[in-house]
Amino acid sequence: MNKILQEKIMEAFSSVLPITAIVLIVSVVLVPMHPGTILMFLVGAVLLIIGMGFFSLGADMAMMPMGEGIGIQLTKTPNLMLILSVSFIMGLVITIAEPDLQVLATQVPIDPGMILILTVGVGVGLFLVMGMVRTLFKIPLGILLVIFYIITFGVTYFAPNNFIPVAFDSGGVTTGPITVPFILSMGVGVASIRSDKHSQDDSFGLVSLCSVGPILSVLLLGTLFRPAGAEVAINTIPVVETTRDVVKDFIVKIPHYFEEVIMALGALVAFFVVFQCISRRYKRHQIVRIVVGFIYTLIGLVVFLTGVNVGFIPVGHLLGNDLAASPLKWILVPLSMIIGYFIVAAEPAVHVLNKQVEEISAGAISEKVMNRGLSIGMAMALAITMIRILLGIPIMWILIPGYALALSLTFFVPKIFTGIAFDSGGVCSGPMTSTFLLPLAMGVCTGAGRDLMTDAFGIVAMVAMAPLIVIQLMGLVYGRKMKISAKQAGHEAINAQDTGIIIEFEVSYE
Amino acid sequence: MSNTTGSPAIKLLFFIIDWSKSKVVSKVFEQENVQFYFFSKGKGTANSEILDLLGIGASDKAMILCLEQDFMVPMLLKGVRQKLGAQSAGAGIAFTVPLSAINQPILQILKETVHPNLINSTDKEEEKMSEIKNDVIISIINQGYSDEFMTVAREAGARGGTVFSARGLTNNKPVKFFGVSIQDEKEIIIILTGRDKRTPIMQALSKAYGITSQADGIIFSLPVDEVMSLNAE
Repeated sequence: MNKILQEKIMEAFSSVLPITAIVLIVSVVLVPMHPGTILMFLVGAVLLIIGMGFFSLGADMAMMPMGEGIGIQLTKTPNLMLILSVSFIMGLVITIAEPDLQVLATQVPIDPGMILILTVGVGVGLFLVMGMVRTLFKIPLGILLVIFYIITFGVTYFAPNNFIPVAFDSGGVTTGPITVPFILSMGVGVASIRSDKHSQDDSFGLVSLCSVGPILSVLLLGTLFRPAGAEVAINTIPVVETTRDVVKDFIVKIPHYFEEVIMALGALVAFFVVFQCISRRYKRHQIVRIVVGFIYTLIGLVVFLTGVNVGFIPVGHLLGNDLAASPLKWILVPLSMIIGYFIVAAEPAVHVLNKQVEEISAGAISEKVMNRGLSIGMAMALAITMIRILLGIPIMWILIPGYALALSLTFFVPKIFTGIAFDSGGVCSGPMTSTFLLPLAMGVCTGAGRDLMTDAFGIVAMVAMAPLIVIQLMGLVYGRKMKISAKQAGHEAINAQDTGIIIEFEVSYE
Repeated sequence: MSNTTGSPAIKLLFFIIDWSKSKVVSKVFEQENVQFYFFSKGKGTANSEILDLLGIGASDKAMILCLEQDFMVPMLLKGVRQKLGAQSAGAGIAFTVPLSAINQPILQILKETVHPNLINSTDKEEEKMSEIKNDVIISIINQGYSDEFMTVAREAGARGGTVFSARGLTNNKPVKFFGVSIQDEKEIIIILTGRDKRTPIMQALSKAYGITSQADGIIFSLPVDEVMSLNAE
């Protein structure tokens, strides 16, 4: 069998299977569910596997080479204004097209919804420009992040209380499965044609800045408009009786997600066409491959989003609701940790990040290590969220010390880890989080009788925050190890006078 | 291979292996206390254009360069083969290139390094030296041409190759842009071939993608002492 195909299928299987198994076990042991709901879930899981496989193949073929190409080509044009305006427009266009943002707009009560979308778009655009400026002028990422997060937390002081969780969530949500691979690769591209010793460190960090943008802009909107109170659509759990109902439920949703994904990808394709016409970077063969890659991405995302939205939302909600209402509610904490540990792998953009990290570090930070780091981060995030909801702790009590820790760590860890960590915050909070974990949290909220707006929302913010700390701690250990091994190598110091001597060998070539 | 100074013969050992299996090599190197080895990530080239366009043609490859004394080479190979075990089929290839010179300190370290597992392999396993002489063709071309480049190479008789991204440094000072030096993007393509096919391949390549073409190719070959497959016998 074809090696790559085999690899992709294995990757997709091993990403989705664990979380499916956990939910199945829970549905038998703790929360008995209607067989129809479970069937929906299983069909959803199958779609997830197929979608994931196509998406990751498509990302490899289209999104990553394209993002890298644009990054490289942009850096090559010695025209600062052009670089900045292109980055701004790109950030704006991609964000407006991102499906997750449309969903957010319907949840946040600002009229008209377009204002929100535009503000967030402008926010991402401006911060993408900041990211480019940072790379060109070699401003350390840590300092920028500290400044922007201090501003952000300053604004929260004025923002209406029930608005803060949504604002922080939007940061994680807007950096979705289309934006992330693209912006991530763009950063790698920009750094790749530099030859100074910091180029590797600067490969990451663009996504992290792009997720501050939405938080700040939604907070500002909330402060200025003072909405009466956000409303949340509660998911109704569809009742299905027959297998035909199940299939029908999925099929009717496909056109909707097809439209969403086409919108988002269309924006990127349009960008690609303009880019190619001007730069003529790609040859015929590569263009065909990129087009095929786009088709894969389209198929993959439509299948993935349909599966996860139709199959996973009801189960997540039911699980949370029933468990929180039962006397066993504290079991939610360990259970959510297990779910968190395994659900990271099912987040499509995570694989893209891990691959890039392994590639840039030439294998030194392997995919496995990254995966474990993100899994631990996610497990912690969910445990904290569950405790927070069950006890009703205000979100700022956790966000402020959390970010304070994450930001102060930036001064101690190897630079590349700061970039990776802050990028992975946006990467971890993708469609899996908004379709399974958010409903789960909402379910817990209704089950435990808490306020949805202040307690359930905020789960995305937690998921986006935890990796910042865990990955940087990982970097701290890694940095220490590097120092030790450098010391050991130093022991073998050799007579410095010999360094200029060259020993020649006689080589016969025939 | 003789040498003038009585120093041990040092080889440059190339491993080209599936990226997912490159961990095996680094583990063996660690065990054997190999001092100098370097990883680089590249892409294999596909056997057919259709598969490549569908995105399932070329897989990621690792190139591992290693400096070691020649008697270590069979041991390292044996170690890698054993570790790979059943997965070894088509996993990769290894070959050595002779060195023409090296600086003294490196040689010193190579000489003094203690190889923990050396004693076990006193039953010197005779490596079957292949009768056919081989060469490795190394081409450095402008970014973006590697697909077409490999098509030409394959038509001329090459079996496959590995592509690495690289940056070009020329005599001219790099263009500085806000303190960031910008360099040309290049691709390095490594093709291992029998000596009989070397000339036709190189001719075809320089005709199509040589220094006068848009690809700006620099094409040369190095003599290879030994080619070893990683398949377990």
